[in-house]
Amino acid sequence: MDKTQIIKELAKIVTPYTEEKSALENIGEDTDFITDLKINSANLVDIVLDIEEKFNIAIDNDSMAKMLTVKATVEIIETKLNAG
Amino acid sequence: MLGNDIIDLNFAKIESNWRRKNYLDKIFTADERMNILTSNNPDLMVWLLWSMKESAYKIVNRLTGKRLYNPKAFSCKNINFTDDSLTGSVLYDEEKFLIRSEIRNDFIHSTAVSPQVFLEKITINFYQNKSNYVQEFNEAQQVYHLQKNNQGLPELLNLRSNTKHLTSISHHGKHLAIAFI
Repeated sequence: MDKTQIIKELAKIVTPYTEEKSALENIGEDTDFITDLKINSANLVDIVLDIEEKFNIAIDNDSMAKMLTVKATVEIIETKLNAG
Repeated sequence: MLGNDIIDLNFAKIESNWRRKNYLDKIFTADERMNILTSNNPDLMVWLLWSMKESAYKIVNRLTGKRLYNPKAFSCKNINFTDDSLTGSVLYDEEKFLIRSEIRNDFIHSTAVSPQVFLEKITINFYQNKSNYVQEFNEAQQVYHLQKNNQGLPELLNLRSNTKHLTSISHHGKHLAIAFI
């Protein structure tokens, strides 16, 4: 799965947790979950769990700590997919 | 330094399902999970512990300038309940932050301070959460003006004494809290 596909899947995952429709339409590597998509910090954990389920990977605490932006999240997903 | 966090309990109920598999494991330590699962009111306990962590995170974020999503690294300790409040502390690395939480009908609010700051010295005011709250606050206030300092952090300027107060603002759902020293 390439970066564009991962971002597309990520957009689907975050949709229920954001009301920022235009930021969601323009989602890209620079998108920040909290400042751009205004996602509640208690919902970030849902996104982490959704990613684990969707991509069938396990996200450790150190990786989760970085998952505030699309860029960092895509990198973590890519690394875990390649390792698996 | 201070940090605060408010949680609208009605919103939290709709926005989050903490009973979801693995949810608690990702954000709470084993002790905290035990605390939640043995509590008479686990829904309240989840959000109290979460707001303790969030208020302490705000201080760490302000001191380090780093943004991380590492709630498990913030460990809630020494929790003491009364009817409508909670005191406790949050440990992070070598740092210990003191916490006081207030429990109201439909929201909870936690304030965290660094050890050199006294919780009793903090003023907390609650408001209705609105997108234009800064403007409304400043129009209603005679003495205080809410603004941002040169680091982009909120501060209250006392227009009479021309003194500045370190401020932390939190909003969620219908509620807004402004805490200052």
